[in-house]
Amino acid sequence: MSFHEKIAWSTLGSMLIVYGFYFYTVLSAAADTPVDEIAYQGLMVFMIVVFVVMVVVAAVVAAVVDPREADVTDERDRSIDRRGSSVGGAVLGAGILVPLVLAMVDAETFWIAQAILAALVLGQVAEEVTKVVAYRRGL
Amino acid sequence: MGRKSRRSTRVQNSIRELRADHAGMTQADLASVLGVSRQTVIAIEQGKYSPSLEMAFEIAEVFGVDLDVVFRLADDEGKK
Repeated sequence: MSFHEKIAWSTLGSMLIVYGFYFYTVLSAAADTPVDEIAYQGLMVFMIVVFVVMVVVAAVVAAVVDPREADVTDERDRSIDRRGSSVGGAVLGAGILVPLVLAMVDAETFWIAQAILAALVLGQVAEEVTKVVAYRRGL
Repeated sequence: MGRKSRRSTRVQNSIRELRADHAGMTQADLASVLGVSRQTVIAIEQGKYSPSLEMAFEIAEVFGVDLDVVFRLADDEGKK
């Protein structure tokens, strides 16, 4: 497995763990608490930081395990990256319409914030899944 | 994308045979000469990735042969 494929897998795994936990926690709270009483801001920022740290640690570990591969970014990596970005961008673009509509109808700020984060996460997940599939099945 | 076939390109190649003819050059050796990852060499050999024209010429140059000795377009069976 090439360095960039390892990064794609670790980013995908980190996202599912971190944001799975975040959305589970916040949406569970929303089920039995008025949303304007939920202090989601601190948790959201904390989870984003945790996610970034996980991705960086995974990249460092992958580079230490196989330093030679970490130096190589070739044309296939760049093509796969472009395809991932293209799919991720499309998903993000579509997903961001949800918070836009929520803002238009004066929804609670809580829901707008969750919808923005969800659009960002879904866009990134789509990007990483596309890359992993391209690495596995071919471009 | 969307095709079930294992191969994702119509380009076939003889890299595996050419490596064998060149003192058993390994995939890692070829990758290192080309400056790409070993996985990219594997993907090209398996027809899962079509290299750029530039890299295709570089591969032919490594083996000292013409481009069409290394790569050729598969027949129509790959089309449907």
